[in-house]
Amino acid sequence: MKPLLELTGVSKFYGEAGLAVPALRGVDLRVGAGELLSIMGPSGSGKSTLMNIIGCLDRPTTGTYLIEGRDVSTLSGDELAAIRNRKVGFVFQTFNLLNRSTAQENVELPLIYRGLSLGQRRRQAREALEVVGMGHRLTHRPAQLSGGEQQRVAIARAIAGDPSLILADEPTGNLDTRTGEEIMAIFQRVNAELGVTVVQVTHDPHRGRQTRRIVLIRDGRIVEDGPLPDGEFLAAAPEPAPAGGGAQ
Amino acid sequence: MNLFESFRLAFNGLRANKMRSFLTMLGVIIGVGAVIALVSVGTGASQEVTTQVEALGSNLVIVMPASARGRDLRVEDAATIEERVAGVAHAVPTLRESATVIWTGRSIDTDVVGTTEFLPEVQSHPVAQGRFLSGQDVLYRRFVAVLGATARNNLFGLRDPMGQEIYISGYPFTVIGVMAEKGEGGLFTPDPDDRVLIPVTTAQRLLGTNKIGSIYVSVNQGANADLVTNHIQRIFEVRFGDADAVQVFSQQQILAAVGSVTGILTMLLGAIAGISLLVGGIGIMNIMLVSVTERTREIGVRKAVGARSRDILAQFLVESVIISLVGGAIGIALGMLGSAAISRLGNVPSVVSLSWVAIAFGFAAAVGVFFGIYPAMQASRLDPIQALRHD
Ligand SMILES: Nc1ncnc2c1ncn2[C@@H]1O[C@H](COP(=O)(O)OP(=O)(O)OP(=O)(O)O)[C@@H](O)[C@H]1O
Ligand SMILES: [Mg+2]
Repeated sequence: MKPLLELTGVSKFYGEAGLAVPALRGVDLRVGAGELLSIMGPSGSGKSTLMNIIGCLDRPTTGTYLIEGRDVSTLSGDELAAIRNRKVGFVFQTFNLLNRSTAQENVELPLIYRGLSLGQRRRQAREALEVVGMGHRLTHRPAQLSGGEQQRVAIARAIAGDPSLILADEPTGNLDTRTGEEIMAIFQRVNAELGVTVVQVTHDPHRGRQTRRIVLIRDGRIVEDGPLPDGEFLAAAPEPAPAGGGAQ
Repeated sequence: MNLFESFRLAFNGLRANKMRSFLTMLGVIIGVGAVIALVSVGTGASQEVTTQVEALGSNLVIVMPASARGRDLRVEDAATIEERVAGVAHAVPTLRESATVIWTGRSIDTDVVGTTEFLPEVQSHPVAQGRFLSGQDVLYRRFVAVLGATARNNLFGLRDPMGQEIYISGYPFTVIGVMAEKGEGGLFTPDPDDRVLIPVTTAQRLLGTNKIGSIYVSVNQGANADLVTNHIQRIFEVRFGDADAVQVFSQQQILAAVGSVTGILTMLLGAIAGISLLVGGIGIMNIMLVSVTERTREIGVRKAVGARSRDILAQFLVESVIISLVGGAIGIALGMLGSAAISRLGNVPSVVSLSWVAIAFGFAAAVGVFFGIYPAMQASRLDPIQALRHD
């Protein structure tokens, strides 16, 4: 069976040709459909760079990258946009919701660029918000939501378009422990129930053990990669429905 | 993403910053409004002049002393033209002087014009009541007067002027007729209704002179006005030994000259207004650049979730086009109101020409595209990773 993602000898250099700084050097990585994995490593080791390449926001300088068997390292900007639109959902540390738009409008965003009708967009957005427990906050704007609630909306935006892959760069980095736990529970549930592949970046070993595989990266190279030993996997604390009195 | 979505996004973007969008639009509103208002007044003025010149009478040639080096004309010159120039129907001498006219204690200031019996024919200005001056009146220097419609109203109101005695510069005249109302202006040519007509010979005696002001020549149907003009010119050239002593022009020549002057005036007004529209366009560009910078992160998010460069381009370009089109539409409405107001307050005519409305609107749209394209390109070219990091 073909893996979902297949990176072979991927390197990334920043800067002018002569003074190029390598952020990734010869990364080989395979991720199967339905995996739940963490990328860990010290600051500046190249985790975000790798995520950008996996998410088709950036192209490798050398090496090949296949998504579902298709080589994306040579695609045009518009073709990459189409892949991001259909296959990838991003979750950011800082949420990156549009402040002027409601929760529902934020979740609709990827569907607009897919050309779906307004009615269909609304319906899919509402369903995605219900999956993350935000069905009762459709018309709230980001400023009216707590950090945890904003991250739920961001996850809803990532899953609304039914992607094969969710990329989360330090999704709990800006949240307190308890809220981070709730967010991880959502990722675990989305991965288990919807079968979506989830790749997260984290600094926290505890969060790492809430996924089933850990890739360790240092100085732009993968130095360790393996499944979590049996029995070490931690289920995140069951998510309570967000308190009715969340930030209003 | 289709055009409808681009419009929806653009409207939301503009709505989010209502005051700023409105102020940006104001630049276009003022520009387009100024074009419409000024050009309408200019067009109205030029049409007005044209009608007034046409109202002087068709197939008309006017002879008058040149302003510099001018030599005096005499009654005999009119007779000479009538006898010697082929194609001339009548040559009518006129002598115009402003004067006070009194009737039983009531007095008005008006123009008194000395002329001959052929003026109604030459100026296409018929008599409405009574009769016009006759050849006998002119020959015998009679003290008789025919009133223009306005002069008659001002002096007599609802009373019947026929046979009444009026005083012009202290001399008694008998009113023998009233002219029909011509109704054309008085803004650019002397008002043909506000005058009192008396025999030219009588007028010369009143003024103690033997010269006249100008000669109105009517050309026969089918005769060539240019040939007549040239012939008259030559007669005076020979008489005075100076080609420039007398000015001779046909109605067509006056129309052409007036038309080119008012045309230039209209273009000039339009150009000035066009510059303000250009300034409005620069305002659009300025605001759109600010907006792109402010919304860098939004652009990054949109790109991350799958917006293509042309989707971002369309969103921002449509914003600036909406500003310019809505501004253009409001500007047209205000420009029409403005031109109506100017023409009422300033008592000048104004004509809103559809072609100028179309030009102004098209120009506004072009301004929106031209000044919107650069900021929109900037937005569409942003690198999503950099844009997401922007704060
Ligand atoms: N746009 C860029 N231009 C130049 N160098 C860059 C750029 N982006 C990243 N780098 C460099 O590449 C290296 C890897 O950066 P990256 O952001 O991938 O690290 P990271 O593992 O995500 O770190 P952190 O844990 O702090 O987020 C760093 O040395 C960084 O300075
Ligand atoms: Mg990082």
